[in-house]
Amino acid sequence: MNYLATANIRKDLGEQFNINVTVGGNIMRQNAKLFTGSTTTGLGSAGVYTLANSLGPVLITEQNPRKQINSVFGTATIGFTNSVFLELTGRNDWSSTLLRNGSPRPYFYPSASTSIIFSDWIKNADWLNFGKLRAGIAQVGNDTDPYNLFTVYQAPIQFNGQSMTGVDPTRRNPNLLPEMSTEKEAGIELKMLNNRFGIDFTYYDRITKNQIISIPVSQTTGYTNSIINLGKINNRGIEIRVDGTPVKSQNFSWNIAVNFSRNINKVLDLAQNGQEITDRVVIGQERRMTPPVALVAVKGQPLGTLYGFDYAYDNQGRKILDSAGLYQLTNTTVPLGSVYPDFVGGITNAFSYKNISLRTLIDFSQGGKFFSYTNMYGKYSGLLAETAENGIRENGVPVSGVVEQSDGSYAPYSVNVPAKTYYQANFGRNNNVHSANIYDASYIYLREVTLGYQLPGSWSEKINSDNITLSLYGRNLWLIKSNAPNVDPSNLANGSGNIQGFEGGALPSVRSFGLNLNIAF
Amino acid sequence: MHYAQYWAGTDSKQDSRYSSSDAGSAHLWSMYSVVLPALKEIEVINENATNAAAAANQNAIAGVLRVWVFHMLTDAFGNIPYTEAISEQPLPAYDDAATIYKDLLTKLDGYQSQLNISNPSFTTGDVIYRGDVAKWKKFANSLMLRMAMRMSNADEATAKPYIEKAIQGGVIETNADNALFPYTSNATEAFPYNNIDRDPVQFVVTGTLLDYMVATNDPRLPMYARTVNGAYEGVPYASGDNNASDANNFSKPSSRVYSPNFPGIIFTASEALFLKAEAAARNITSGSAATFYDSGIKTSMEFWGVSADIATAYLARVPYNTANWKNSIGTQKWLAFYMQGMQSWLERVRLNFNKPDGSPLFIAPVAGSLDPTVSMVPNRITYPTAENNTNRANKEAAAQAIGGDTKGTKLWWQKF
Repeated sequence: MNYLATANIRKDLGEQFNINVTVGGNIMRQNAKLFTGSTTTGLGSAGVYTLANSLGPVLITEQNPRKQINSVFGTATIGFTNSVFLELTGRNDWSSTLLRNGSPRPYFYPSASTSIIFSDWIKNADWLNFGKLRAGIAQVGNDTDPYNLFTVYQAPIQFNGQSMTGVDPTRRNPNLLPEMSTEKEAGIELKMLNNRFGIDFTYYDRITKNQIISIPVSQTTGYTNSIINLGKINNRGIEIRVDGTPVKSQNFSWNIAVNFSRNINKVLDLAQNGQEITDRVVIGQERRMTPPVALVAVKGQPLGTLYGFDYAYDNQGRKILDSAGLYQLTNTTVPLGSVYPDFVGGITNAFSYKNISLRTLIDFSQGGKFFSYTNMYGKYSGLLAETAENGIRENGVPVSGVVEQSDGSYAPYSVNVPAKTYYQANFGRNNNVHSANIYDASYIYLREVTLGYQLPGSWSEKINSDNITLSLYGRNLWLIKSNAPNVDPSNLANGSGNIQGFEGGALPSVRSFGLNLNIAF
Repeated sequence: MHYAQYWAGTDSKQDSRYSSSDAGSAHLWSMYSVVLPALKEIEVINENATNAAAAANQNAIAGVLRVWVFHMLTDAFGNIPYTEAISEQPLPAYDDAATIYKDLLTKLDGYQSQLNISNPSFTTGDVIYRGDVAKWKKFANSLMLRMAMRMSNADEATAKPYIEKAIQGGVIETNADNALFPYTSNATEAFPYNNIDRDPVQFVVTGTLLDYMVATNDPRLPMYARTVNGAYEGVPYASGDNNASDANNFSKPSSRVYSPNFPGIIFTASEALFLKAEAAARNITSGSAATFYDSGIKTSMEFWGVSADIATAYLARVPYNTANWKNSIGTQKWLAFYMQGMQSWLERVRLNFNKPDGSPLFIAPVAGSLDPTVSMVPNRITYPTAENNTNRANKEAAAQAIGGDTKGTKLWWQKF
């Protein structure tokens, strides 16, 4: 439910200045009731998916998240000769999910931005059709989900005829502050050569303070997770978009657009609720693994670095084995790579010849790592072809490395390990080599091809239409380049929560084809 | 059940060969965030209790259970977070294991005297003793006896008064007083080894256990293991390659110990009686070690449903040997500890006993240990890896303090 009221004043101040002021108020209310039921220990009759068919007691989860945000806001836009603009905004929110002295905590966030259409001021430059400079600074405040403030008991369940409850393993935080991000941005937009070449460039520098996040904590605190305001994180980068029309004739045209962006992420401060207590914070983990592979924030490094076990190597870089031929792990968890790509982008080409048009979109991403639970499970369970190829089930997997001798030195060692042991003990869910399932997330993808035909004008005129276009399209056509087997690195998702850098049971991007008929009036 | 050499793995023998065991460590460690906060909450709720007498008993029962949990944690790991655990401290420091032990015993003594059998305690919710304070008091004393005995080889001066006090206060000496966690036949309340769909094939019973039991014609055999073609076939511990069909060739654990309502054993009378036997054998207390030894065996037999006559006949085959009390008591206690893998392993490490005739009872893993710091049996388990990310500095300081975070590191109470 959303209630919004605004008042608007517009005034011209002389010939060259005008001012436009809007003030308003907003009340946003959310009230949801969720009711989830699941069967336990299997079904009585196979294939009948009803709660009543549960063998064990039916588990019922009920939730009633409620939240309200009250806001007042104002915007003032001052324009000068329709080519220079200054916009000022301010907003104050009161959210029911954050508290101060027992009532919703107010938080204010302003912004200021300016833009100058400088092409209006430059005379005698025919090559320049449009030029705009813009700069701004903006703050955005954010609240959190309901029920993050106070620790409550878990809903009781029955055991042996007795009601049983426990303490919530997530530590809630009554002193949560709003997240606040402050972004400085500057950009330039140009259109040149009869609009045949355009460029749009943006630089931004954003600092997010007090991000509200649930982090895993040492269980010895009595909790598994803690909801905190996390220090300061910096994201800065560039976004460039260039488009051009290299060929344009009466019957044929070719348009190309390239966009490219690069983001650099850095943890400036790892304070938890304003206090720096540790040099690293776990921001996510693949909990289905023991020990879990974790996404860790370390001060001075990018926010998301994967930490886990790697192969143990001797000082000559040879993998260390035990006497059974199983890989030995590093003594402790080590960094296994950042999950963030170096850059991402896309290229769109559009051709048209008379009534026929062809449009292609390729997108790409370079760098970044992810942990693939799918590949881990495929090896562990023997689902992947590699676990059966080359007769390894009959003869074992030839493994070579080194084994530690009684004097502490390492001697070369080769042995055939039974395939099942090789995959389950090395790459299984427990105590495995995490780095064996870390992959590069780079890809190049032919995302879309559209072939269109515009029907002759005489056809469209009959129904008073401007034009009629028939087009054949295909999406997610070809993963041109990928360094990760069995999964689609452009569509990483995880069954147990969506944390960047973890893949688990992600479906490949769905390839689709279609025919479009577009009638425009 | 591996470390006590009762069972061995079939298709994951690396567990029997002491490969790293983080899942087990993590599981035990989770008591910090599951059990301990709930026990603490009992005291918090009781701050507003209307019946102060009942609240005092409830708090004492919660306190005894808290001691029990910390004792298991420190016995398995060594130094652990204790004073700063379950507090407002975000990075709890690890405390010295011996210091923790002394504090736990002091607290336990306080709780057992706080337990007042003429006052009520829990009217609902207590699935172990149904609010019977007298039984809780016996459990508290029994736990005191176990803990004091465990440290007795390292610090007998501290242990002795607690051993005496516990025995004087009264320990669990009949099966009716056993501390058992009552799993039920309801699917979601079943004993964890039970599998409703099929008989588990992950484990087979070792030759270590079955050969000795067959040699002494132990009447508990059918309750402990199944036969293969009419005979008990124990697997040589941790031998051969991973192979689930071991379960067809060797004796599986009995149906009884895989049944849904098999109890989670916390403390039984036979353990207390064997502890009394040891106290007598070492002249820490008076009394006849042989008598307690016999009672310990008979009580174990009764627990497993063996009739008194048959149990008495068995006694003649395993007479108490005063000169070699450690082997006699150790072996019989080990037999009685079946399905209490953790306590049995810890007592194996503490007493380092052999068969009553002095020949070795346990063997090293036949296929060899996968842990270079361990040859026969681990002395402890390693800290959970999760602590690396969440409490690294404290964990590493603790690892250094105990002499290395490996399974081979001897803990302070391990003297043999």
